[in-house]
Amino acid sequence: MSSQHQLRFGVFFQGVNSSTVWRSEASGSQTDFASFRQIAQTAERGLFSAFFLGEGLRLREHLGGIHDLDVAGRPDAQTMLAALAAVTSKIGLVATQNTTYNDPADLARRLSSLDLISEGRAAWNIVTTHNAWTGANFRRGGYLEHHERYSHAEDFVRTVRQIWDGAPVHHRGNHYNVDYTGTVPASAQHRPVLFQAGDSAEGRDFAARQTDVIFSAHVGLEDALEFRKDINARAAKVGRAQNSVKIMPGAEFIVAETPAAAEEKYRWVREHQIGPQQALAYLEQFWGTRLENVDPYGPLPEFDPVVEQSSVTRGSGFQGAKSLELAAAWRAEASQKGQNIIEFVRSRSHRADHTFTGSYDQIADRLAQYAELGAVDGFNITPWLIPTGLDDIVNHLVPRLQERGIYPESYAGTLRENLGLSIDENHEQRALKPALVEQEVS
Amino acid sequence: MSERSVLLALNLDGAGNDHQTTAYQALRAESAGFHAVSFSSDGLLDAVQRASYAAAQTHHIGVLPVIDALFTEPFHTATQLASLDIISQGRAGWILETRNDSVQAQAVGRTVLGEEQLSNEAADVVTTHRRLWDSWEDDAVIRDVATGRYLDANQLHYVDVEGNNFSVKGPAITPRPPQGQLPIIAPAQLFSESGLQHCRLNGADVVKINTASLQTLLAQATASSTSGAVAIELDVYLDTAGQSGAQHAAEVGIQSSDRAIFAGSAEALINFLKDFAEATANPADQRRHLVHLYPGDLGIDGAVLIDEVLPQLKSSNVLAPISATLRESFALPVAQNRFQEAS
Repeated sequence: MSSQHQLRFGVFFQGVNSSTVWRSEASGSQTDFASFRQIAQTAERGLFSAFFLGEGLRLREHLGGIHDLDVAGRPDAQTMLAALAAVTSKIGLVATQNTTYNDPADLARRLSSLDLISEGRAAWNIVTTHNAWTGANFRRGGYLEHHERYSHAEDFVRTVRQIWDGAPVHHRGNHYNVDYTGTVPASAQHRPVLFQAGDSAEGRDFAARQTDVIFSAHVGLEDALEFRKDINARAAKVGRAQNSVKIMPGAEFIVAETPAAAEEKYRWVREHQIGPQQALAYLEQFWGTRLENVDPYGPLPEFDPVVEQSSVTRGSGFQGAKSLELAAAWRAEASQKGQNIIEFVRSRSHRADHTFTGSYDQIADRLAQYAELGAVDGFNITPWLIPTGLDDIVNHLVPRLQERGIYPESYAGTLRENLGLSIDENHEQRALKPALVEQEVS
Repeated sequence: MSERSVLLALNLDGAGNDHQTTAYQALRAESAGFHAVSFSSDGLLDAVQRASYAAAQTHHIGVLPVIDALFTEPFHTATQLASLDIISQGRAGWILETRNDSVQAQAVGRTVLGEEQLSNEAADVVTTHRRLWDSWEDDAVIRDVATGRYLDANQLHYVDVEGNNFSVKGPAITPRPPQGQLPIIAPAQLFSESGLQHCRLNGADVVKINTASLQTLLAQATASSTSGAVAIELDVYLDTAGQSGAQHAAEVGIQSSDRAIFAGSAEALINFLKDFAEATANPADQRRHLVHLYPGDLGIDGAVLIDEVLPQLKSSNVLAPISATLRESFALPVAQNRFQEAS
């Protein structure tokens, strides 16, 4: 059987997160080139469309000190991807890069460079931040207000795209000016592919206007369908065709030969991801204080969070959380489910609907539903083990997806082609016109 | 007699934007016995990326990107260079330049610096790199299952650089590079009291001398070599069967670079390098010096260097041994971690 709609895989080598198991004998280096090479080459053997690297421009902190419980310390994304371009030949190479703490001319030049070195395989995962905490590592410092971050990002992306289009750029912005003419020629895919992951209404509109692929957080089937509908509606408003913005949710796969073996593996992974210290640290972010005297095998703390504070230092997901309300709700939830702290955090921090757990056949069947309904264009897989975490997926799941006609049998060409993206010249032109952009951009 | 004190680097800009030729030439240079290959960014693909691409395909040759210190972000360049060192397993170095021109400045929304500011700014930038590279101690990744700690926070350090024009908090987002500190090669003009005062591990490691005349170059290098490692740069046009080096140089015309031009036979170049080795040798401290060659044409002059010059030099007593890391090839001392010493 063959289906019109095929799924594609990407792999997200996160490098800084709580989902990578580091306590196992099988856990390899998070830094050595060999680990990156092995994951990228395994992914390429499995015909993955893309290899992703993340970026965080300040080492994470927790309650005023360096956060020491998770993997951390990753090499520079584009420097690593340039090296991987030498040891792979088909897979896309995606660099997460920040619009607040880069310069458009420099970033445009480096991304073009990566695109040529990789022969049309480069992509940019656009992220934006505004906090002064990250800015403390950069010349400009924390110059951006929260409400400006998307308008600034869009301004930035538009400038980069103008540079890629080859014309002299004289950009006058709120925060700095850019006078620059690109010197690097275009690659076989015209320009690097643009990814973006923002999920707010603003982020979605930004993606609908500017990006090729959304690295979404909507994994569950219903959720994914709804997200697809929403993005299509937003894209239609700016004149883009249905499904022209590709959607690849981030997901975790825990797969094995049998359902029972997969369940067993699932328990092992969760135990190794979240230990007692990680569970307490997770709560400490919301309680705003050390919980060193709290038993991780006991119930959630009875006392309330000390301050109703949010933290920018562990990532944007925690901002604006109302700690008192959360604490009350969580206590009730944990107590109702009979969960102790560690069980609660394990269930909480790795949401079940972000994880595909099952036998190879079960998961292949589930993914066939996604393909049939056109819910997503693929998945961006975060391996929970480095550097062997893709082996099962490539060796056992991919062939089953191919049998079902929902996964490519070969690479098509450039990353743009592998993702099924076209170069829509009209959109390219429109995207450069400020008139179509709702926000203040200059 | 010279004491195996010279390192040779070959510039690969002649491969242009062709990454496959770049990698091929890097492999040729490695086989021939060059200590390093270099990459600048003049209208070409990113220097760090070309170095990284070449590093992934070579095994013991050094990789030297030329990177501007003025209109770049020190936090980014420190991360990139550390990453290049990780990828090359300790073969990376930095040829620092200060491109104080308005095109560079306006590309990033800034203005050119006053001439008197250059060495201070370079010093702030180098200090930032040095401190970021030390901000993770070598054993900061502990993977301690009993306490649940992947990192030992006591082995991570804020760098707290307060420069004249910027500040950087740290720590780095990338672990300490394999060499600890990458060798930094910087122009002699920056080595003022307040600038990159020649003090290994704080300032730059190698003083780069540029002057148009070969004789002046040799004299200045000799004088400078008494206080530390030096680097000289030459545009090289060598005699070939069809054309003399001088004719080739004349055809190419006026050079935009401020480098000295060497035009002549392979023999004459070998003799010049022997003279340089002899004049700068300092057997007492095993100091090594770099000769950085920019072939007029990578295909023509690069081939003569690889086929004729290197084999003869290797059989003489001029070339330094090639070590596992670039620091070791330069015979630079082990880079002690400044934060570790303080604790």
